[in-house]
Amino acid sequence: MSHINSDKGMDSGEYKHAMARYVWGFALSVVLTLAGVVIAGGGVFGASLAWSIVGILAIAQLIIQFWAFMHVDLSQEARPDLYLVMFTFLIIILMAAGTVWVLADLASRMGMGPGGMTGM
Amino acid sequence: MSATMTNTGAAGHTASHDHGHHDKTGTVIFGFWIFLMSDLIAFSLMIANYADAEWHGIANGPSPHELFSLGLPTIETMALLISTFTFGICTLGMKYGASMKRTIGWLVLTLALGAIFLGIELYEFHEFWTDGNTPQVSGFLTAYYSLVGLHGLHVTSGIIWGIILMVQMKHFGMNDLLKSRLVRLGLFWHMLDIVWIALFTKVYLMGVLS
Repeated sequence: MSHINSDKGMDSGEYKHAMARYVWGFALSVVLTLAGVVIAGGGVFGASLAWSIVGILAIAQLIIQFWAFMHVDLSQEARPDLYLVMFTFLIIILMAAGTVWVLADLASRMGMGPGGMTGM
Repeated sequence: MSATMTNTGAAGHTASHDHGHHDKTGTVIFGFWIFLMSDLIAFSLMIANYADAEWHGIANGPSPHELFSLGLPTIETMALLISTFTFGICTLGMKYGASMKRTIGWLVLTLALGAIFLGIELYEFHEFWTDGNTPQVSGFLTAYYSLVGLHGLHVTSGIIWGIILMVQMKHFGMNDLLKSRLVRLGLFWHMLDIVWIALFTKVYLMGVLS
């Protein structure tokens, strides 16, 4: 869990070590963001392959930012936060994916193809 | 898994006798984490709603592919990404005894980048709106304005919260309560950037690919 005070100062190795984590997180996020833009806008890959790649890049960046900025890792100190995040994503997968499933099923039974109710 | 969690809980309880004050701060921050994660669930359901509306709710309006371009949203994304980094520098320095002047300086820079993000977002809303693409046009546009607007509303409240904290720092001087509040605002801000990764990817990147 995060603490608000350290015994050490800003010239300590501990501070530099902690700062390196932010710098890595930021640098990797910039690279992943720009890679996503190039892949989505560049037209090198087919649309469905590009769609999958930007999805994977986003999940990678999500994990990196939880690690670098929100300090979620495998340490004992961060364990309650890690369990909370894992439980949250379980709920998200159940509820968000379930919502999309139910609504897409409804749409197909109502005869609404992709592109919607054009002309109705 | 539940046995492990009980053990962690017991360890936390023992620690509270040793460092009562630190542990209270830790409890408050963990409580804020629970709020953040519930907010994340709310956002995920807005994204699910958007995913459906984008698929079946175009009606006679534009498709995401026709509406979006990547230029401004990429600049917007970079502004928010830099701001989450500068907030990290702000709170990390604070923890290691940085001066209040340095802490406020980085906070001002962070909030200014947040304001740039918000400005670009509002400019885009205005452009779409004046082209006749209002929320009433289609389910897709309703979902777009509500999803991206909800995130923008969070950034706005984060900026207001940051300004209030700076006033409190100037007035009371730096103390543990204000440090704890700044750390919580930092977590809120970092989470907003994490949410934006999902929004930028789903709405804009996957939007132009559709």
